[in-house]
Amino acid sequence: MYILAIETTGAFASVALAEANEAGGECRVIAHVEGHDRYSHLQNLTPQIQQVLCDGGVSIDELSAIAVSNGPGSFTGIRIGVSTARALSQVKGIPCVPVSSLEALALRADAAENAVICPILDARRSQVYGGGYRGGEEVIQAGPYTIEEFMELAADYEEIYLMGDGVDTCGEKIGTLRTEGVDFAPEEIRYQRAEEVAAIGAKKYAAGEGVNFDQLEPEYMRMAEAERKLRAKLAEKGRSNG
Amino acid sequence: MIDGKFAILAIESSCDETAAAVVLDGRDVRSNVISSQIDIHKAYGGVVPEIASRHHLDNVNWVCQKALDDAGARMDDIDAIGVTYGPGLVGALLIGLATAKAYALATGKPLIGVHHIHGHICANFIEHKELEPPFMALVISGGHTNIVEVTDYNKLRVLGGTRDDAAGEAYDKVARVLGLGYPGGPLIDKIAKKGNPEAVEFKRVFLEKGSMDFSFSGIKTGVLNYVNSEKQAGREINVADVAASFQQAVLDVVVAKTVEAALSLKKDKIVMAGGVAANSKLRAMLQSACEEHGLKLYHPSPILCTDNAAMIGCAAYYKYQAEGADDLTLDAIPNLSI
Amino acid sequence: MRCTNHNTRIMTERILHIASEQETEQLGERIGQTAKPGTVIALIGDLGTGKTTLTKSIARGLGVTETVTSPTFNIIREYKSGRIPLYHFDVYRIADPDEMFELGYEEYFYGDGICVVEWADIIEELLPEDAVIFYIERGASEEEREYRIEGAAEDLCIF
Repeated sequence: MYILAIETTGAFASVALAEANEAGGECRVIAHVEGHDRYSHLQNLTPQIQQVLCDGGVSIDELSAIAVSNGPGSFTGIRIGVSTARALSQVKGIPCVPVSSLEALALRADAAENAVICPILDARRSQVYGGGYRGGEEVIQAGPYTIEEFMELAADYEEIYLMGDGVDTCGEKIGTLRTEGVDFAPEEIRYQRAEEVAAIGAKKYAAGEGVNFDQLEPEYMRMAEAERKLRAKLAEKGRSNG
Repeated sequence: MIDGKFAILAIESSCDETAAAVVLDGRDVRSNVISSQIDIHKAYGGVVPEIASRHHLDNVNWVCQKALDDAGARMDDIDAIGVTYGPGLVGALLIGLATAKAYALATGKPLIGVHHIHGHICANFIEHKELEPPFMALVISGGHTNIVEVTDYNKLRVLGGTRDDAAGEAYDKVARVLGLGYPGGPLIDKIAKKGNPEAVEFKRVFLEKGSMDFSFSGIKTGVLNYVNSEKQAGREINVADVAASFQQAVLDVVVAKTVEAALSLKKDKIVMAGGVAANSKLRAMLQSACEEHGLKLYHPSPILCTDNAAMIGCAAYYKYQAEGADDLTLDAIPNLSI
Repeated sequence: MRCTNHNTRIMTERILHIASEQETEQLGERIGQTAKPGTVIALIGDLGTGKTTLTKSIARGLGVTETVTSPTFNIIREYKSGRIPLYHFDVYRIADPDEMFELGYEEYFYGDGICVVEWADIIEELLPEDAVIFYIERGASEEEREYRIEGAAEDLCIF
């Protein structure tokens, strides 16, 4: 079966076309396209999809499912990926498979066996969307954290392997918090891409975890405190529009 | 094709509304779905639609499905996908555009990007089957105030726009100052009928000679200052009179500039568009000015004055005829100019 | 200059008396010329206090060539023709923080440009900690204004 995978949660959009057996195994990427323009997802995503289908010699009618990285990461990027996946799915009548950007990124890691793989994505204000994975299990719950909070959770582990653009934005601070047992993914494999989304997507699809297009939701991992305060204030005022 | 005509599925999401429509040969509207116009309690396709503004991501798919269903059509019957790609709120535009691009890719059909203001003008082609260019257009709404020379279906030239507040926005803000509620336009229009438009002299702002631009923030401030000084002097204001006087000051300028534009560029038709085109006083004043100068006036029905996708489907049709399809690299342009 | 501690924010409060529209424009232009990327300027003042006028001047100082108009209806207008991007917000029509979230406000407030937010009191809780807040009131005469400025205003080089 053929799976189309979309990844737009980072600075560069990427698309992959994968072939897998009915159980979602033996997943092989047969074509992939990565963008080179930062944050140009809206412009480039659809043409990239067109290209990857062409490169792979597969028509859109032959797809079994659309795997999409639905977050966390870039707010706008997530929305472009989710809208695109929903629309393709709606027209072709095939399911969407939501994939966590953190889980997919973790698959790219080239880490020591014992290390906990920690993808961290920049969430601005020295905050990150982070999680910890070892042996395929989630050992640090994926969520929004300040970098200090995340490093505190990671302190339980002797060896950690950090990846994602959170490394770029918080690298210095991380250096002040911990120097022992910390490894950083080299740039070439540090960031999200569609190929790992395809691998996880194929497995999930085979396991029956595909969803109807109208059930595909973004996973923003909102840090809602400021908004909670505002909602409380507006509720008190009983404010109406205008 | 539907009934032998070129069928466009059009999507509009430039600001508050998520809208979709099926339009045949540019002027035959088979469906016109607007997210805020649907009863909130009517579940659709398992998804309960959100009435709140700008929930485009939640709305776009079911709104498009409903447009197809209402038209008795399937995606296979559609010949092209039209979509607003600007101007507007970029976060809103991108949902409609990403969806439209994906539909175009999935169906293999052409994508046509449409300018929102072109859409508003084309609402008149839907309303008036016999209307043809050339004409002078006045696009007047909460977000836009433009005089546009239309020389062909796809040939537009903006002659003037606002330098500060849009006309509709001035109405909303003055309505708030007068304690009238929201949206202000229809409320001012209504109460002004009972007021004396000459009761208060508000400054008519024409800007420099020959300019087809507008400026309404001064009039807004004028009303505010008047209300404040009356309050300070302990006098009660007559809301109907103030509303009528404000409206007269705004519309005197709007009508004068529009008619001047039509006459100087030798157009014998004036076409109105946008939310404020539903204002009864503006219609009456333009109508009588047109009669005075031997011009014909056109305006759309109220539903076509507001943001909708049928007008986008119409504009898409004419744009496609003139220029063909857009590339799948089409981007949303929040400041798109004509 | 009066300094007061408030929650986690050290607030420096300054008062500026503006005698004419010309002075407002000069102030705005200076801000536009010197503000750094990532600056968020909140404008709080009633109708007619000149929030959009000030923003137009900031735009001029930034070298923006497009006409800056009121964003009341569109909520956000973006201008990329200047030294750095200008994101002009008017949150007058916002009734719910979800609306701000759906607009992607965080990407703007913590991004690469300058944000000027009119009617910012409506969404004060969402402003970044280092936002500079201008409280604008009318003065004795029609042209006069009184600006009370809170926050890290030193970077704006207006004093």
